[in-house]
Amino acid sequence: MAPRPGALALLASTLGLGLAVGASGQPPDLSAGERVFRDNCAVCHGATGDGHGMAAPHFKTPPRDLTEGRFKFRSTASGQIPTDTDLARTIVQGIPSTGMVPQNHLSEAEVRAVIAFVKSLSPRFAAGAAPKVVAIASAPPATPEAVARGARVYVKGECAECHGKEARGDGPSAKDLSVKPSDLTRRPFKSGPTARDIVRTLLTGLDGTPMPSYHQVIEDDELWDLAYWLDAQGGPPETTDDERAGWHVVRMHQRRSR
Amino acid sequence: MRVRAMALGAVLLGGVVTATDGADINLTIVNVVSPQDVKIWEPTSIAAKKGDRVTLRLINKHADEHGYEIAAFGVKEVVAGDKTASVSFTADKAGVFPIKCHLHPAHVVGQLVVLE
Repeated sequence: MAPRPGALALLASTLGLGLAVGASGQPPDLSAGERVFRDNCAVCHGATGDGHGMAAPHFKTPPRDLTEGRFKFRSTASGQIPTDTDLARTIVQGIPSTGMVPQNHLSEAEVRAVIAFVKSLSPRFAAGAAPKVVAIASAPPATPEAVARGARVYVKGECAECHGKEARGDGPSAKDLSVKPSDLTRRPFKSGPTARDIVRTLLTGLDGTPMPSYHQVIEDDELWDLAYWLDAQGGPPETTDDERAGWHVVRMHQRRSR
Repeated sequence: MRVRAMALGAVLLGGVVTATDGADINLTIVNVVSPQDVKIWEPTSIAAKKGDRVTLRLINKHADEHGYEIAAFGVKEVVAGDKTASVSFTADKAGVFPIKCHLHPAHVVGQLVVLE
């Protein structure tokens, strides 16, 4: 599926400039968003967004129930709703290693419209104040010394308690947790491929999992050191069964839609 | 919400007032249904620094009661259906401590990570 320039331009503008999608002052066009959702998302997430689309049983990790309004991958504080930019990133780039494959064929207008529709599925977006982005400090140089320091931050941050000494997701607490800790040596990370993506996860935590936010608990420069160390632990990228299933669903759905 | 910029607080420990540079951590924790169809408290895990004063506002949006326990800090709360409760404690020891729902049946939902 070839990406349309519009969708990538939207992502670039929202990520690069921090602009809110749909911040044009015009009310969102929910009917257009519903149409985009029905044509591209409902097969997995269900027509009502409850995660029970007809393709849902094909995935080990079920599609997100969008009516809950809770998202793992955000730039906002733990427990908060995501920004439009966060939703655009997830839609356009997808979530690596999962059935949420990139929807980068959508135009900029389609991405804006479907974000408005997704937000209409949960009362959390209407009820809450606009979410605040947790600032990410500027990246220090990624030197071998920073990587070495990162190994020490991994110990200091008690990361091994869940993720294990070698970061393989097999720490002593892992057996007790309902959501198992990630094997941090496997790639790609769901939150994105860069050290900055890792820092964002360390700052915001992953809602719905035992991964906490380390915002103001571990210093910013230490978080970058840890991110560089984690980045250095990765093996070659793998393709998961859920990702294969996601692409299969997309292909089958497109055939049926023709 | 964390207030790390605060300077000195005072904590009464065994009758002795001890100065601490801990921050105030105020978090709202909501009982939700996870994608695995399990009722969990979210955020499920919390990170703090030793000496931080932690206040948790527990919102139970379900009709049935749910428990919230951090045994290491004497927290053991039952929140009735559709009710809110608050618990406070000082994270005065470092380590990784289980956060449990101690009801139907007891299970670990997350962890409190207290760093030196």
